Amino acid sequence: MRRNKAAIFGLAIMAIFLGLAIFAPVIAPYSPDEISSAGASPPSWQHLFGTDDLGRDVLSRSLYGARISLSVGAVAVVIALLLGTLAGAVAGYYGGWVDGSIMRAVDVMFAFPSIFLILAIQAMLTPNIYNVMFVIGLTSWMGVARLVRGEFLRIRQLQYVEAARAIGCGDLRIIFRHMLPNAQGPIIVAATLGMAGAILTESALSFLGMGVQPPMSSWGNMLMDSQAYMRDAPWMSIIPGLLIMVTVLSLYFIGEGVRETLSPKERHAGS
Amino acid sequence: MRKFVLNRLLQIIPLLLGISLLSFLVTRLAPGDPTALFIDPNIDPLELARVRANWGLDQPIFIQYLVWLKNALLLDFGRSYTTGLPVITEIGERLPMTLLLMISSFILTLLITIPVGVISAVKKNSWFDNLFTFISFAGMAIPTFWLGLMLMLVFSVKLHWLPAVGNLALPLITMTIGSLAGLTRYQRGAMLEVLNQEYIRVARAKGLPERVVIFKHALRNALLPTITILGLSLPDLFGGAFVIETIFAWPGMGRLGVQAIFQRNYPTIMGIVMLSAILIIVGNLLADIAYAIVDPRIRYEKK
Amino acid sequence: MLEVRNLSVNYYVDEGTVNAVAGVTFNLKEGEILGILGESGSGKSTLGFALLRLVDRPGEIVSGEIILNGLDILLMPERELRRVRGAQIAMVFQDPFTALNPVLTIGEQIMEPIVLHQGVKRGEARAKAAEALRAVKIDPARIDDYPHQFSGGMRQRVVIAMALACRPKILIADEPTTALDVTIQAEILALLREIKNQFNLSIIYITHNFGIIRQLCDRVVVMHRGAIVEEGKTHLVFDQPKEPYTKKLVDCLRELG
Repeated sequence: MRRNKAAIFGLAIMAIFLGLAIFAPVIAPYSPDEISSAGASPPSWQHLFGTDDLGRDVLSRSLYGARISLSVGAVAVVIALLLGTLAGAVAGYYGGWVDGSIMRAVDVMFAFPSIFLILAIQAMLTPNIYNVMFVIGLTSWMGVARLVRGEFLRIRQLQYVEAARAIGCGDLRIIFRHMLPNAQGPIIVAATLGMAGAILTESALSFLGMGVQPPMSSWGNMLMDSQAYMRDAPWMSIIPGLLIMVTVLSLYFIGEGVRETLSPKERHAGS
Repeated sequence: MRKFVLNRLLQIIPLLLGISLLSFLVTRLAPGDPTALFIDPNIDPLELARVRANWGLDQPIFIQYLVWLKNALLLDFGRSYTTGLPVITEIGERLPMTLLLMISSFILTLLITIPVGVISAVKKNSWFDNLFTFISFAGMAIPTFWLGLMLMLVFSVKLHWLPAVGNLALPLITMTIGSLAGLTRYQRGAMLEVLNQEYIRVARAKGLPERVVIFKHALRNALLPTITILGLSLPDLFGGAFVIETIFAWPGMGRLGVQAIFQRNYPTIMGIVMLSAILIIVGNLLADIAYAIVDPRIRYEKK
Repeated sequence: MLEVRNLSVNYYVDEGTVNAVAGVTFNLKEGEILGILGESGSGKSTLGFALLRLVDRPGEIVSGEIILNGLDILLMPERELRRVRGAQIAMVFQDPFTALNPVLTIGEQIMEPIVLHQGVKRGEARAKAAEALRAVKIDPARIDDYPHQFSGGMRQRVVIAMALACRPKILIADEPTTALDVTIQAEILALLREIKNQFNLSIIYITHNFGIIRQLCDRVVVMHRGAIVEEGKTHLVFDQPKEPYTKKLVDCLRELG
């Protein structure tokens, strides 16, 4: 029960944030790049979240940043899901050497500290928002692959798959029509947790200057700017961090809620 | 047991080959030439060609990889483009600082995780459990680097208790909170699951005091998933080190790695990737061995 | 020997309160095997656990008395209760695959209650554990093996050895053969009969299987929805059931042959 309340809370927060991001141009009191006060003025009625070192409104930048951070998270997780589901489905369905080689590739990818790999790739490419989405997706599909493979190994044993094969269904049809829909629960959970992870990674990348590039604002690169002004303008670092935390927390709650609904723990009275 | 360990050791070889090949490709297939960053563009073309030959950049990429691999087997990872020092020396100087940070954080994490996970599970839904549930969810959701910034803000900038850089306390706390959160949840979950097992009721039915039931019968079983998670979370520990060392200017391998990436210092990047991978794999191997020590089912199956 | 009066157990679940055991009264006589018969969900397992106060949350014993040697188990302080558990009343559980701790040797698990209740040294406890293994016909040389190295039937023997280790007077057996193959079931039942005589036990045997009750038990209580609907000598209950519910059960059994 408690869990579901948390999940609803998470959904509500995500809905609000999504709305704020979509309608940022309408809601934001200033343009994100507009210099609307003297540098680094503290929160006030004109600037609810204060202004940054250049005098830009932190609230407006946060709203526009939400667009970037949320869409990076969403696109990256879609890429990771596509890759991971494909790899896991193929490995789990065909087994044998196909499975062996895909899983070894997963092992290799897992043995890297992923932030380091992402940084290295980013350093080679021009760091822009599309590359950020792509690289995060490309380096976070392995968990999904393992999960889907596990589900497929389990489902492959079930009778209806045997039956589908017996009536002559092709491999692709079996994978996509018969097996994948039955693995969707864990995939949804992985998607919410994956999006949380992607948002965290984006923020770390942008913080290190290897992600979304100024003047575009994302929560991560707002934090990068804030570092030098921690003493004089702490609101610059507090606000974007809190936004990231609340977003990630909401996604975790949603994921936990879905997981809970999918596997209702038996709470029957003993016989 | 010996066969089990040998088997695992053999699996490491292709894994390391894969890692080295992948990171080599990532660093070398990038557009642009590393010499452009370090050498005056107006240099005499002949001189440039000499430097490129010296760095091995005139060879086809596959040959470059084989040469790198041959040298790496002899622990020669080349020389840093920026300092000219052997990569192994450079890393060697920084590694102890990183290990100091990681190992102390690891120990601190275990010292907190296990008791907290056990108490949370035994006293499910108590104020203690609720408090730590909240803390661990928050801990999982906080970006590590931001946590570091906030700790710095509070303890260095405002309270002046600790210096912002050059002190172990803040990076250690940041790293520990980062890894603590998820692990505590796992330990609690594992403990809850074990406490529902029939053999726990059996132990109580024998008349054992609760203390023995929990620490002898339940905890040993509940440690198994924790060991697995510990092994799997090692890459994150390294990842955390890169970011945390950068924020707190901690003179370790992670900070060196981030600098090397910004400078496209390939030999150093490769050296750090390989060393991290080796440490991660060795850590995973130790986790597997620990698992086998606790779980007789694994130990005997492999005989 | 053991007197149960007006025992009630509730489960507090999300959907409300479930009265799993509702005011049950019966007694166990010395040297007898008392069967508790009921469908799954009738509260018979909960009753078994309640006798040793082993009901877990969200369940709770709400009222009643369980009198052993003139003392009420439900009123005992924790320390005294532990001196009853395993020493005077022991239990054999439904599923031998989950009743043994996978990371401890069977020897260790059998020795535990011996060391605890008899205060003997480990060497002596080990000898007693080996003896208990011999009583359930397991080679004592296997004392240092782990549970996963045994088959289901063998594991149930280990569980029985564990229960017998401290020579209790009362044994509560909760469907000890349900998880086993039919041939193994017969062996375990034969073993129970044998050790009952050898160790001078009184047994409470909980099952949904009328056939086993008929073979094994002197008396039977029939449970339905947490309450006792009929009680009596096994052959009487079987041949001339008084209550409609018992009649239905017996008819079902006859039809099955």
